[in-house]
Amino acid sequence: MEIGTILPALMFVGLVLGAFTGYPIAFVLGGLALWFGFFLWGPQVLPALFFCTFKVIKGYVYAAVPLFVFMAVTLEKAGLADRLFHVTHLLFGRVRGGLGIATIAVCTMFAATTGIVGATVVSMGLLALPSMLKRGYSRSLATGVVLAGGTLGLLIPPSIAIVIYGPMANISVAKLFFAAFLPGLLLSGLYTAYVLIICLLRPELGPAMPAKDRENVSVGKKLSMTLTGLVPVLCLIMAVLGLIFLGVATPTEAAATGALAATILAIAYRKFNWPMLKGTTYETIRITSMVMIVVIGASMFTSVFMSLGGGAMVSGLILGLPFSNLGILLVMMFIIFILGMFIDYFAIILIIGPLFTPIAAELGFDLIWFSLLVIMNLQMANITPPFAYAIFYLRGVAPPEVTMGDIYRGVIPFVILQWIGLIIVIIFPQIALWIPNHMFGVS
Amino acid sequence: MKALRGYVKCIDIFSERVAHCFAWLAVILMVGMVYSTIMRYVFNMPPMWTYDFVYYCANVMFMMGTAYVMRMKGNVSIDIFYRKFSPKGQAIIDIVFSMLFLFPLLAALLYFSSIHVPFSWGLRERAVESVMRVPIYPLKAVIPLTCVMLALQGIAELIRKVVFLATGSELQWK
Repeated sequence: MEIGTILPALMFVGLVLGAFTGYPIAFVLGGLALWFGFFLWGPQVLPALFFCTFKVIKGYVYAAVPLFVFMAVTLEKAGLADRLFHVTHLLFGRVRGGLGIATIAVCTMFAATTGIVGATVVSMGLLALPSMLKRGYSRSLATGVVLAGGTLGLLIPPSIAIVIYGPMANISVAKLFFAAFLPGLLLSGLYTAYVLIICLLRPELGPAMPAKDRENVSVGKKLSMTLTGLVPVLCLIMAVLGLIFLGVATPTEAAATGALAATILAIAYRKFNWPMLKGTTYETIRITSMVMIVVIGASMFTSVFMSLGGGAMVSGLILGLPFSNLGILLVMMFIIFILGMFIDYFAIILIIGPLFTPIAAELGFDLIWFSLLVIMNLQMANITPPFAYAIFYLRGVAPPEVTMGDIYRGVIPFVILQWIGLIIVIIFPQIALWIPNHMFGVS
Repeated sequence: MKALRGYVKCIDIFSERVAHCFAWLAVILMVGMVYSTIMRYVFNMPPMWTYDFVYYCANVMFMMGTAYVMRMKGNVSIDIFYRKFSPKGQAIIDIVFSMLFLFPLLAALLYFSSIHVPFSWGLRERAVESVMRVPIYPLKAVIPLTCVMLALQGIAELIRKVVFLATGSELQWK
């Protein structure tokens, strides 16, 4: 092996070893950048690292991160999931597997208003999970539905993952948002169909609500609950997506509008007060700093890694595979899937984005479509053991009788469904590209 | 021992207070952005400060929260093996890696800042891309400030681990 390939290879090995010790990944990334950069450039590594940091803190697009986080935390504290679940529960309760379907429906709507997986999984884990278990749902199905539904937040816009991915791969965040819309609905539809079919075949997994348990609610009451529960959510979705859609606002502006709209909703639901606002801002700075420090570390790492020829090495390795374009695409997807089992999805975006995007460009793929496939794939990272944030969150709020084994068994069918969704979008790129191409003109 | 506990307590509180103060930039950012968006699209009078206001608010906020995240042990990490180590093993990993990665990185950034930031202040450097050509040197100064806060908190965490290894019990100030 020549010297040119040894250094980037060593750097990558260093990353894997360093990260797996459990030390904060941001500092592992930055520290490796320092040592390898020093080896490559000598003292010139110092300005390089400084300006990497400066470039991140002078960025405009990343400002959407705290705003979307603020919006998600506000909605969570406003008890939005609570109301939505109550309404959909009424609508779907009498069907077999109806509660599961209601959970997926709520998760989908919630995903369209927030971009954080944790918020959805925790809310639904507290609300929907006990309610499904009480009705005799199988523990695996109930946890699987909550986890799969919760991770939709990563894909359906507004999504923090997309806000991070866009600038990293040099792709418009607004375009990615619209590309993510139909694939998100596709997955949501696949989950619903699965729950319907499995409960038809094996009713004991998800029994319908017995007649005596159905709440005796008048039509007027139902209507008013729908109005107070569903309509504000549609307004919120419009406030964020509509503004971008109509070309009125950039994602950052829309994020601010959405955050304000969420605050107004919290006031309307009478959940807004001083301690709640204080809690929300503190939570916002914690999550934002946690994410952004990884962005800085990763941008240092990538800049040194690329200068060492790491990008060329990886693309040489992957493009040299004796496969067709489709084969290479599947290999890349498989790599991301495997990484997702172990690594947090932010870290994957930040490391894989700059490495894989040029390869996709070289192969002549549409970059929006490719980025979207990566993000769909990363949904799985959240629910594939052993390292899966969504599972950790759910474990934290699930009733004690739910074991880790139940959760693992519950996740498997949904990971398969996510692969099916991914393959459908690979076969029919128009699912991702139709909206952005019509909105922004064919690029 | 008393001095160590006092230091850790001081820094813990300091990191938390700073983060809790700067957290309000999120609210200011939200209000300012909504105002600017309305001015732009309804009244067709976009305020000139929008662009610079956004990155100043959002990014100064998160930089000032990084030490707090460290204090809360909220950093993203892959803990599948880490969780299986004994507390002693975890402490050793943290000490070794902070010596290997964290402190050299902070030292490097601080060293370059000590040359570049005073230079930028001396020039009264302004942002080239911004409409108003706002001063950019305060933003540059945020980098060494963050590094100092991270270093102070990093030393506090180091003290915690060393005390734990030496005495076998956690250092607590509450």
